[in-house]
Amino acid sequence: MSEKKATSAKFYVHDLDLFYGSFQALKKINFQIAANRITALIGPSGCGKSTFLKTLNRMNDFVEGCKITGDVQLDGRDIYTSGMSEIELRQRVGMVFQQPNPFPKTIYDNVAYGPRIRGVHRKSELDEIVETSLREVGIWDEFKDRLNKSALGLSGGQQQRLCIARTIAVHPEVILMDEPTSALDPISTMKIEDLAVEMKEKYTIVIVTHNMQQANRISDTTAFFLLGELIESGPTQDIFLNPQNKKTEEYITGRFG
Amino acid sequence: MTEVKNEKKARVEVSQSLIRRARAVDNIWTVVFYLVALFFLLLLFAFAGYVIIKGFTGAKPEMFRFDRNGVGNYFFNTVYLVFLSLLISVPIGVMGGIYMAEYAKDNAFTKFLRIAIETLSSLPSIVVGLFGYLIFLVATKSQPNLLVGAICVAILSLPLMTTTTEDALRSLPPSYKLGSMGMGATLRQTIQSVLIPACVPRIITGVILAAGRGFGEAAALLYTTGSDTNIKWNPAAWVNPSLNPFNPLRRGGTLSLKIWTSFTASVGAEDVANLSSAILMIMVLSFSILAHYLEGRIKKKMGDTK
Amino acid sequence: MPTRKEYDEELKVINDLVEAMGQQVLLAIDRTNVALKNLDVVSANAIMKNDAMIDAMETEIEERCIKIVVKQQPIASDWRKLASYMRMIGDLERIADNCSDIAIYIKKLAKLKKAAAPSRLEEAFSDMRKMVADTVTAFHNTDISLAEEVVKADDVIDDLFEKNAEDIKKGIQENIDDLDAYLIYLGIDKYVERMADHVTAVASWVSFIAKGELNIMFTDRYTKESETK
Repeated sequence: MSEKKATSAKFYVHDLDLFYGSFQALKKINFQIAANRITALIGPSGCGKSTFLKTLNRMNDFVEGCKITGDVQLDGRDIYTSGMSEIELRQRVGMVFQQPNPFPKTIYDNVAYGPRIRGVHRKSELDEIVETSLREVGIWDEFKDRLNKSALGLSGGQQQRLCIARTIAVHPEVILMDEPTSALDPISTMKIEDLAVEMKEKYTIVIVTHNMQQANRISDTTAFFLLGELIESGPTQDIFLNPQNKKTEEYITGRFG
Repeated sequence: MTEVKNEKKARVEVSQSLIRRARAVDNIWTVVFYLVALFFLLLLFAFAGYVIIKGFTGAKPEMFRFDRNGVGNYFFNTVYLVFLSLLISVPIGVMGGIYMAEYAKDNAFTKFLRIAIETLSSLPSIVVGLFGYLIFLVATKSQPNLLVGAICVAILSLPLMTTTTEDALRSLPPSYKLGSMGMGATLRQTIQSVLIPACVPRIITGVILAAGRGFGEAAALLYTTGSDTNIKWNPAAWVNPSLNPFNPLRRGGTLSLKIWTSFTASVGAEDVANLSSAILMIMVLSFSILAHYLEGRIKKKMGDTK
Repeated sequence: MPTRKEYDEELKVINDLVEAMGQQVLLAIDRTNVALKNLDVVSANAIMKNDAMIDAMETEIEERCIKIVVKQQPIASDWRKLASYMRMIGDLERIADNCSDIAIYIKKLAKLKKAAAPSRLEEAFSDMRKMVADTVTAFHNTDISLAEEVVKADDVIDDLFEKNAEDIKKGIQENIDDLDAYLIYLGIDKYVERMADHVTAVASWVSFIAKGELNIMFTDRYTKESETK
């Protein structure tokens, strides 16, 4: 396991509290996410890991009554208070959802959507972006002859990889994945896991997963959430071989759901 | 011993006869419901059938002509007027639906707006016609014309377009919006590039329904479009703009008005009225069937891709 | 997720079996000690016969560990335990084998004229015995400090081995006729030292279960040796 040069923190989170109305979903979260690594967020249902993930690209803004205090910095700039536009933020921080959600358009138009809304309209440019993105995800050969077919006709695994291609078509720096394989079969899951490991060369990846073997297999850092608190975080091998906190040990050995 | 046995036998017999009774009652009611359904069908067939048959059996070839006495021009006016009304009601209605689904906040103003739209949809058409007459004709000292009629019909079909669009948007999976906004698209971009295109089939269905209703509109047009029409199809005659079929500021009686005038004006125009009714009936029926057919096609297309 | 009752029960069974094996090894050591003092051939035979039982214990524990790893994919402390058990029982079995090796020597010694045992052989034996007893206790209580003491005590045994070897050398020089007996004592001395080495490894694994840091104590004898002429 070669240690590359010390990675700087891509995200710096300090004393983050999040409220849905009067319910506190995240309590004093302090955490750093390293660049070009895969960080896994684990914990039982309702522990706040998905909520925390959505804080990183301000998708919580769409939930009424959501209030956030604390610092969330991307490359040193606070994403809530420094005047950074959510548009710019979400281009830099992309998201893949639990249920594959391709648009009801062709495969080509799905991948070209991001570039188009950013003003890229020339067909040659779009063609190139679509091909590059599909190649990066490893589905170019599979799809190159049916780019004009509807994306809704694909299988779940194919749709999810299409969604990943769609996300990287706008060249983000970070990719957030919210339980990306929980709706997929084991083979599609494996393909996407392999893809994530390949992709961390170029991107910073944060993945929420309830599958601990998955976190163990692919992540460099693991953070354990419970009831809105970050209980423990550290190098994945340490968390899974020698967790310091008793609750962490109980959760990962399956002693409580 | 036999006493107990007889008692048991009697109890079984009683419960069996109760079951028979219940089943008989159930069967009777099933028949009743089927009869009600049959009644609806018969009503439609009888009504539509009678009108269409009566209309076409009494028809003479010259009635189909596009001249002063034929129904051709009225047919054209009907279609043209509905077309104009859709030009007004579809953009405004769709935008209203977008507002209600995507921009409106959950407050008193929105509630009031919703009530306003609902009320608009139940306005008596004659009242809308009168309103149009007073505002657009009397105040501006104009002649009755197609455009004012189209505006009135548009007002009547606005709520339908708004509701159709709003319902279509709300029925979309929230993942479309989240996926788009999650990529850094603005709400406007999301609506324009993802949501509305996904709703187009349902909106088209709404447009067709609105068109179907517009064809049959009569009360709103009574004072607004003028009940007769004099258009010429020879472009040379269009020097006089009121003879130009495509000029919306001319008088333009529709089929429904022709029915009205034929009965009140003179005797012997019944045949024309019957034919007009038949044509109108066919237009309304076919548009209704078309709307349902499209909806079914859409459901299948969206459904089997899940 | 259920409370993994079957898993927890099986973990406990294996844990108890490992401890029982440790107790059996301790018993074998005590019997060997007595048999050596008395040059008791009957006891020596019994010790050798008993070795088969300890071997069978190792096999059973090994099988259970392998099965449960495949079935339950253990991690964290569960995995540390199971990984440690599989290593520990190897060393324990070796210690038991060494008792049988000493038993063979006892039978040989009984046939020879009685010679003087090295002066500190008994001490080495009982020190080693204490190391094994302490390791079993440390395992039972998950006592890290006790395990670390055992590891340190290995140096004393190494020292005693040297001293005993000196004694044997002198004895040979003084009584060349008793060469055979002295050679056997040298062998026994060596076995005692080996057994101490093995139990040191066991103690390292006990520490790993508790602390989670892998720090197997290998003997530094070779490093020290390689640095002398």
